[in-house]
Amino acid sequence: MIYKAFPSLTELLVSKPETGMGYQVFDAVRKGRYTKVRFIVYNSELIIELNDNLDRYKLKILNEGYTKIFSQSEFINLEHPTLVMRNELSNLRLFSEGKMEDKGRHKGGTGAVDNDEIYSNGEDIFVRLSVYENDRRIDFINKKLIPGSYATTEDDYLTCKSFNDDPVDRYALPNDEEIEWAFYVQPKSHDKYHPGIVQPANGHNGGGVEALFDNGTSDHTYFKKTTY
Amino acid sequence: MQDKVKLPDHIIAMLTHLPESGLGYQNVTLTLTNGTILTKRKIVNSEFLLLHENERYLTNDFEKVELDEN
Repeated sequence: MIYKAFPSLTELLVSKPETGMGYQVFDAVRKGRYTKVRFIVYNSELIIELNDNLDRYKLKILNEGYTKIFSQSEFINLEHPTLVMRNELSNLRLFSEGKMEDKGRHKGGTGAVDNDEIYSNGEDIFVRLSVYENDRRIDFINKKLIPGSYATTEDDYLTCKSFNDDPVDRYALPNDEEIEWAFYVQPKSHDKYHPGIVQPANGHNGGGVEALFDNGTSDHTYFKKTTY
Repeated sequence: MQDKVKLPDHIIAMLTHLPESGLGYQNVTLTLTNGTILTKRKIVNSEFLLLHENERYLTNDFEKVELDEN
């Protein structure tokens, strides 16, 4: 949901430093509740909860216009706001750094092969995009990714789609065949992968998110196939 | 759309056990049965060689494959 801040909150936020150009990230508790939740606020007044739906709400604002969205939004009553510093955030792609033209891509960074392995949290979903329904990096019998396979995050896949981005350029693919399939994988918490940003290659810009699974994933982690 | 040729089964099997270079592709060096070596080539789906313009190969033209280092 998109909300607007009460004037008192806006006044408080205006007195605080920005997290990035034009926005602040803060933790706060909704009145009547007990758990702190993280929000992003634009212009110290338009508030979005920081979760998996952020990119969709960003797109809504871009498509319908800030003024219209602001006028239609309900107030949200938040207590105990605490600003989050920039160095506490990771992989956060926000308005001022992800303009429509950039289509939510990441600048810089390093490729997955150059980054250390980390454990999956057992909940994150990854998507392998493919031209081929019989993608050979999916073990359809044991339902897993085979070793040495790449995927992207579900979030980046949805960002690519919501911005109507070109996956061939985003993921720097070597041929121009149309991506037709999306294979969903949810690694177990003992599965490891190298996270990274797709680097320019094959005449393409990259900038998407990539994950390299040196050892593949555990059995029964591949769970769904859809059209792209 | 770029032309491609399917590789022989023994090369496909080998590629399936080698890591990808990126999402859905592998950078390889191929040796043909006539001794010709093709360097810095792209394989997709561990199965198809992407051909350059005016290239023509048959599946049985390929003898072995090596993965290029990243």
